[in-house]
Amino acid sequence: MRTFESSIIIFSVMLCWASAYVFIKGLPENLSSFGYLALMNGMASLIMVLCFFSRLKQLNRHNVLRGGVLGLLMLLVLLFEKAGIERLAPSAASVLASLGIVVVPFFVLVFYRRFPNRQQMAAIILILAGILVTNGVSPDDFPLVGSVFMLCECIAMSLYTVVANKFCQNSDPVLLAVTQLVLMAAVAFVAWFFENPRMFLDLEFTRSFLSSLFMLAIFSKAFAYIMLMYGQKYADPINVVVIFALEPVVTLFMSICIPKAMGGVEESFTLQALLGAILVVLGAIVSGLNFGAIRSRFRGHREAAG
Amino acid sequence: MKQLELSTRKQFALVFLAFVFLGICFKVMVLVEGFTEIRPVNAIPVVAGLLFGPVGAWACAWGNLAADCFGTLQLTSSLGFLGNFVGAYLPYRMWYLYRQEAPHVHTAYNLLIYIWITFVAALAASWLIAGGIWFLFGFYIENLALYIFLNDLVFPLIFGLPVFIVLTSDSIRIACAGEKKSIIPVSRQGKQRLCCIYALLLAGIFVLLLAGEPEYALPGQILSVPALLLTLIMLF
Repeated sequence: MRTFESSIIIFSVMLCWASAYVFIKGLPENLSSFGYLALMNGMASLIMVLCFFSRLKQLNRHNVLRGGVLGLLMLLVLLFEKAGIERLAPSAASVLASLGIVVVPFFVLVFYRRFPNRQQMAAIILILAGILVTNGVSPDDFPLVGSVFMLCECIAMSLYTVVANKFCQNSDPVLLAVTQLVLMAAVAFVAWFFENPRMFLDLEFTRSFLSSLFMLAIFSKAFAYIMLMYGQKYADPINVVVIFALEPVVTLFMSICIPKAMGGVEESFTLQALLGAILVVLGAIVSGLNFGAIRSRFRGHREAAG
Repeated sequence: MKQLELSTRKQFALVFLAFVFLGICFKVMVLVEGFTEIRPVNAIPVVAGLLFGPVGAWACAWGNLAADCFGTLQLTSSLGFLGNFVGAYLPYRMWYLYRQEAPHVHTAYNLLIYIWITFVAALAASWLIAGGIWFLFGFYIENLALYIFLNDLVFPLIFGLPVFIVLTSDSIRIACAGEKKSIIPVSRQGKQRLCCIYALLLAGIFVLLLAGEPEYALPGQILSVPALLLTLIMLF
């Protein structure tokens, strides 16, 4: 698999996660966060176990352990995110969550002993500038407790990105995806039971709810996790985090394109948001372009002309 | 790594079940009542066609018909059957017009071909279904052509393409259906030129379908005759 192929895969995962909010609106209001996680991950695990039943025979301690670590890291991400979002304004939470663009290169340095190249550095600066321009936050927007939770989320997500990249090199991506989803589902079910022992009994299973449930389970869980594991196997972790930085841009684009009746949201589209989005996209382009090849091709043309 | 080979029966069952399952799940995001909805399931035909050839195409057509049985089955479902068959079989035939190797997108050129054949297949499906309803059944549905075109273009690119990349990667290396000889004696270069004319013709009909003025029905019907002829040349 080539770099651009893995980038396409990661981009599709980002699209799935960015568009999840459209379907989340179809879920009942009395479904708690743990209930949501339990149902999504439970359904996704069931689908994956049915689809890859024969492959599960290859499960061993090695796969289970690695999948378990990834599942736990993702659970930490979700829990810290929930705690952070409850205590911060959305713009401040978004800025802190996107600091992964700085944390991932640090982990790459620790795990792989590799500095980001000049292109990646330029991309990181552009994306950070884009995020700050879009959200326009001041120091007063960052209360300590909420900020710490959000920073922990950012660190856990960055760690997940780098660890997944390392694990995917010599483990079966499907088995890694299945084990982490099963683990997340199990933990979420336990938490949901302690939160509300009646669990499913309090929910009304309408056609719209079931449809949203299937959609989220299939696209934002089963499809996204398998694709992420395959993409991570071949992608550089810094490029992964650069592609994920495009999520707010995609959400902004979707909020304009998807009508409110279909689950979209009406967001005020400001010049500031547009400028920030352009900087983020520019950063992603800078990171993805192969300047070496372009330069040598340009020199080749010049020499041929001379 | 060894190639993953699936029997014809398994290929059909896999595509058919995926189509029915996803088709039913999305019946709630309705765009035109009784006719179309937001359909991520349309990511399947291009990939199924490229990987499994005619088997994938038949599975998509029957899968769509089976999904229609859950609430939207009517006479015009026959057009959906045809549209989904062509939406899968046309990419398969077109791929071997441009490349003499098993489908993959490991190069930028092949990626462009994937995008091009997805675009033409989306135009063809839009013409067959929305055009068929207007030109054959006599009633025009506003924006139907646009919705079908977008469903058939966007989803194969954002969901179908990543799945296709994974399935053709070194980790899986799925065995693709080989090239099938054409029964129509037109050279490869000739067919490539015809394909461009076909795309232009379909684009022209698509514009008429978008406009939807009653006086455009006759030009649409007239343009559909060469489009039908070119579809047959492309498919056979």
